Amino acid sequence: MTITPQDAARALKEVEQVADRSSTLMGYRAAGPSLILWGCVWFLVNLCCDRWPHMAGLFWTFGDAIGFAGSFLLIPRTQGVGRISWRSFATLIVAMVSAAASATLLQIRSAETLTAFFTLLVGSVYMIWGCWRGVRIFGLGVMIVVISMVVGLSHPPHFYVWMAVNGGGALILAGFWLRRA
Amino acid sequence: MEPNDVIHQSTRLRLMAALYPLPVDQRLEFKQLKALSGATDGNLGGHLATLEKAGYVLIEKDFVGKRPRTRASLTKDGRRAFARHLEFLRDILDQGRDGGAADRYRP
Repeated sequence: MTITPQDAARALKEVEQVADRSSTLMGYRAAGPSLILWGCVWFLVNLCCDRWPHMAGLFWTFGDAIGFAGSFLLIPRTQGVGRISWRSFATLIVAMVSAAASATLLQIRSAETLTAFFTLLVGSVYMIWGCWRGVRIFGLGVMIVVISMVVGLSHPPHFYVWMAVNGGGALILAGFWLRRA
Repeated sequence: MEPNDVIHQSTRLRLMAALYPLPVDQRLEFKQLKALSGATDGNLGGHLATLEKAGYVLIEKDFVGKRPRTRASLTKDGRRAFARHLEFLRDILDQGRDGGAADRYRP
């Protein structure tokens, strides 16, 4: 076997490309169950908010707690406990504090606008995540941003039902789609 | 350092590269390996069998409902052999960059 530096460079480039695609695929599969969970949380919390709008804050606090705890349990099963670093937690805390500070500064008073605002932020996070982990996750972010903008600006009757079906449904479908990647 | 003839073949190199980033308890299915390696069904089966025979890949066959499923993962030996082969390729590349006498490997 004769291997020139050009052959070696070509082989290493091929290895890098295939390994990247494989990592992206694994990322999709790992993200699927978490997305399905968040879709269910989103769907149920929005339906509860439609029925009891004055308790929206409580429902979201409870729903977010379930979502984060569930994601914490699901990700180690698919990616290995070692992958969850203090950086992930720090990123999450920074994002939450920034979102809360932005909502306060913008003086968002309406619970519906606040819901649309946080949905928009979640969509943006997916888009940023997608820049690193693959076009499917980026596309999911775009879809969430578009839904939150359209529903948030048009304020249709039964706003929360729209958010439940579109936002929650989109996350659940995306989760199944990613799992099958 | 020696090249690994089993791994260096183009399709098998892609198969090993696809399996290498996986955590220890994860596997890739046949259709995913096919997409990642760009191989045909027949080719893929043959190359996987070669890697399995070398002890580099573990093949598991089962059923999901009534559908047969084939999954593959790297063995410890496979992971080690692939890492060594990558190191070998990087050495060749470095020697080429340095303009050294050994600008090509001939066993």
